[in-house]
Amino acid sequence: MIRAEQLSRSFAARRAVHQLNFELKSGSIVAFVGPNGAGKTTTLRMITGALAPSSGRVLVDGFDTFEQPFQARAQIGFLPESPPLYPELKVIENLRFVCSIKGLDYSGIDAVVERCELAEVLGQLQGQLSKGFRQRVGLALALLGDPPLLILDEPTSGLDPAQIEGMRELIRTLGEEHTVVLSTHLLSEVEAVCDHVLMIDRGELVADASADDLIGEYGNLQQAFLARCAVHRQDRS
Amino acid sequence: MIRRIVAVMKVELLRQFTTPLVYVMAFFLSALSGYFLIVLSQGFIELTLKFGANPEAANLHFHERIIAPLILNIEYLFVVVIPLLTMRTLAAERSQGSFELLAASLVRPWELVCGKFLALLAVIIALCAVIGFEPLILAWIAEPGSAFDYGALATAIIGLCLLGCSFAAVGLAASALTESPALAAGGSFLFLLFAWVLRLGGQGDGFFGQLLPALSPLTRLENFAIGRLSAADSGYFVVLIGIGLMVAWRGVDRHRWKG
Repeated sequence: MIRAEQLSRSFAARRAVHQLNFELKSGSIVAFVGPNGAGKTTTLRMITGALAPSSGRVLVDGFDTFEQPFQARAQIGFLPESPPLYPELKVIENLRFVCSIKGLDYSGIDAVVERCELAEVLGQLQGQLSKGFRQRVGLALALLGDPPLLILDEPTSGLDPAQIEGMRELIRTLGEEHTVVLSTHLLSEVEAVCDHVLMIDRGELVADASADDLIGEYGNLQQAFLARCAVHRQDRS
Repeated sequence: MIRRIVAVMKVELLRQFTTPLVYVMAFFLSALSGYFLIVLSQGFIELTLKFGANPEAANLHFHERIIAPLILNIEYLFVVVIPLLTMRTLAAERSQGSFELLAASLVRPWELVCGKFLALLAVIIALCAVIGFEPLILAWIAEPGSAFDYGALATAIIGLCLLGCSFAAVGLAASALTESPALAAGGSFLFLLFAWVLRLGGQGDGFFGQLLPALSPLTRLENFAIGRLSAADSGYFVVLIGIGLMVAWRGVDRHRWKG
């Protein structure tokens, strides 16, 4: 579903992501794990085609996200870290807008509204929504058109414990029908919902393995992350 | 393609009309143009009374004495108003995060710019219609048989629309280059202020005295204001709009590179 080859990105002199190589198969829930500033969001934005790589490439379903961005984007539903909502628009207006730019009719709106439990806020201005609802509206926008690949950047960021559990349950359900790639720095979240883990530290990949394998080898994901980072930093120095 | 452009245009119009700014500007423009109209009409009446016996001596042409100066005053208001109208179009998309939705969507950068520009075009036409409506009141209350040049008024309003659209294209370009709406407004205001300075350069003699005002969009409205359609002036506005949209398109596309 996704293949990254020598993927790198710099911002001026700062190297955000350096020579990432990985391949993700369809039908799994994959976590991008790393501390804040590790390069998770940069990588996800390159996968969506919103950001051009400095070098290397990403293929989504065989389409190069830089050379064939629109064919690649047609496969992707993207929830950025900050939900991309127009505060001046009502929820229903934003859903219709996204249907229009995705070339869909409005018939799919009811299904995502039901799935994300948005019926009660459809007529509300998005600027007045709580953080939890904003996140769910953002997810509903990503789900419109039923794209095979969902990319969720910090989907539980800023939610209260009940909302976090609700969002995780939703992600688990979505994982049954879609390939889900999510970024997080919460390892408990990875253990709760993900099959596969990509660990990233200072822009470089330090682990690409199944969650079960890493837990089996190190006891838990936190130990796995610390051990892999230590080895990686030692190799670099 | 058309559906995406129309969708962007609709959302931009919703954004414009759900904030009070457009209504405040429409009120501000109609109030000031009404005030200008009254002052210019009073001056015209005084001249008529003074030179009534020999109207030719005072060049008492209704359109040139009232409508043209009115339109030329409105252009200065546009220098202030249009940057406020355009500042949020793309800059606020970035600052509020909705740009990410568009950047990762099937909307091409040029479709985004076209949609935004068409929405601004609709707002500017609405504002010009408000301004054009007030002189029509004079035509309705005038005595039957009075000479009111509807064609010249239409030409002047078309010129004002073209000027507004060229300012909007400049504002859109400024808004595409920053994520701060205030900076976008400031940037386009400075550009339009520079156009004003170019026009003032025409008060001198010599080569530059003729060249500099010809480069200013403000000068290009003069023919339209007196009811004269000019291909050169229309072409100038079209080119300025084209350059503005091109810069805006590059500004949007740059986001992929710059991040």
